[in-house]
Amino acid sequence: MSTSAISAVRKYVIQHYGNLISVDDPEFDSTDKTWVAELKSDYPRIIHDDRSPDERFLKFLSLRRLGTIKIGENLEPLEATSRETCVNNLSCFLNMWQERAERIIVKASSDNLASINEARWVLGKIGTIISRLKLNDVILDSELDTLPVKEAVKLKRYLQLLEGLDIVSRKDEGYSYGNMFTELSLNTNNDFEKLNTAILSLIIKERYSALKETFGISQLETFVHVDSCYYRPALEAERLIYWNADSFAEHVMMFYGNKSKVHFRLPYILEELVNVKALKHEDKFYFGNDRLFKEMQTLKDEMTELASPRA
Amino acid sequence: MYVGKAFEGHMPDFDLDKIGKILETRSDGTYPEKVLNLNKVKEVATAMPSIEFEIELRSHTLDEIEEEINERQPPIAWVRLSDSAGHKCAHAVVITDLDRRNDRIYYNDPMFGEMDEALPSFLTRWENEDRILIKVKIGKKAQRMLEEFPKEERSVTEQMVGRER
Repeated sequence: MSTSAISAVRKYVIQHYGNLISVDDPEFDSTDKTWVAELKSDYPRIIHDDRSPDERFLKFLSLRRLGTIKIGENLEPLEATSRETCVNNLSCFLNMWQERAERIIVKASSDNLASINEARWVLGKIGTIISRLKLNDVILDSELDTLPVKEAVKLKRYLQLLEGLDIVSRKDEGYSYGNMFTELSLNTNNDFEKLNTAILSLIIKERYSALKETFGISQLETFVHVDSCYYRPALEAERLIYWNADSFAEHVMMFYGNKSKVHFRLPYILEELVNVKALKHEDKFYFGNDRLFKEMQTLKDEMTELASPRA
Repeated sequence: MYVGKAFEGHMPDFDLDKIGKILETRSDGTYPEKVLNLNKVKEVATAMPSIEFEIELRSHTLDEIEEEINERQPPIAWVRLSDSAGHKCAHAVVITDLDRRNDRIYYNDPMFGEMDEALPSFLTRWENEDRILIKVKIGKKAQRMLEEFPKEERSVTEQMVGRER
């Protein structure tokens, strides 16, 4: 490796991109006879804890593949990703982190989210299907056809959603229970409430995006947003942090703006999240559920680098 | 090739090696942003109808897929491929149709051929790969053929002669 090539790309980066962007050591491409180096960033995040307000700690998010620099054999710059593209990629990868963090939080907290009153209400059709299957072992097409058209269409869509999770299985004359239904029934000792929660949890864990985008169910979103406002910085800090209600309000405002309806409903949402043990509340501080947080950390560790993957 | 046949136009006839070289593909796959390299290749830039690739490294929505399909521009999506042993990787498919009423999505899969899948499970697989979408713009750019130029020149000359008369 040529030290002069390393110095040349580093010098170029400092002069053209500022101090938030750094560069990998360049690799020599013998076909083009050029040195190629990837741009990256260890992006700083400042996190605070209300228990010790003066203590603010700094953590870094590792962002890769923000662009490339190509220099010639004689170390002259040949081609480089523009500063604008680089900043745009950085912003995209930060958004990617926000979305991945939200997915991690939904997966780890699905049992808790499934216990929220609004979730149970809005997914009431699932309860109808479960009790029907417990009663008769099968839901016949002919039974669905006796219902008002709108109702039958809705139930069929939910049945197809459940089929994809092996909770129900398609038979000639209708739907019967699937392997996952049997397994969850055994795990919950056939208790309807527990079985309903377990099935709702599985749907939220595996099909959260479909609930939002194809079923138009947005009621859970506000709970997930508030939960994410807390757990995302906690994941960056790699430890539970303690916030008061004002800090929650500040973060909700920062991420979702002051027009967000989340802001008005925040006290209720926090109360529900504490009720279902997605968060804890002691004295004047809110903090995370240790067991959920550990699971989120495991999921975060399994995550690929913050950049689009090869396919 | 497919587009060329479908639109009766002139499309580049690249073999896999050539495409792999343009896209800087390695044994573990291709980065989505490298698809833009195709736009710089002469044969692609001059294809009839025109074909261009667009990518923004952000998360896209199902509505965007629907818009592309409605405009007859089949987009490429990155989806999660996994097996029962827990291996997983990203995989690219070309979306050809979307049926929201019956919650189905149709796509061409380079490994499995023409496929259709329930929309909820597809959405999960797409989301697991950050909802990456490459938009393929077919016929959006006016392409000009060499024969047009003599024709154009002739008509200008004819107009001038007409004016002189």
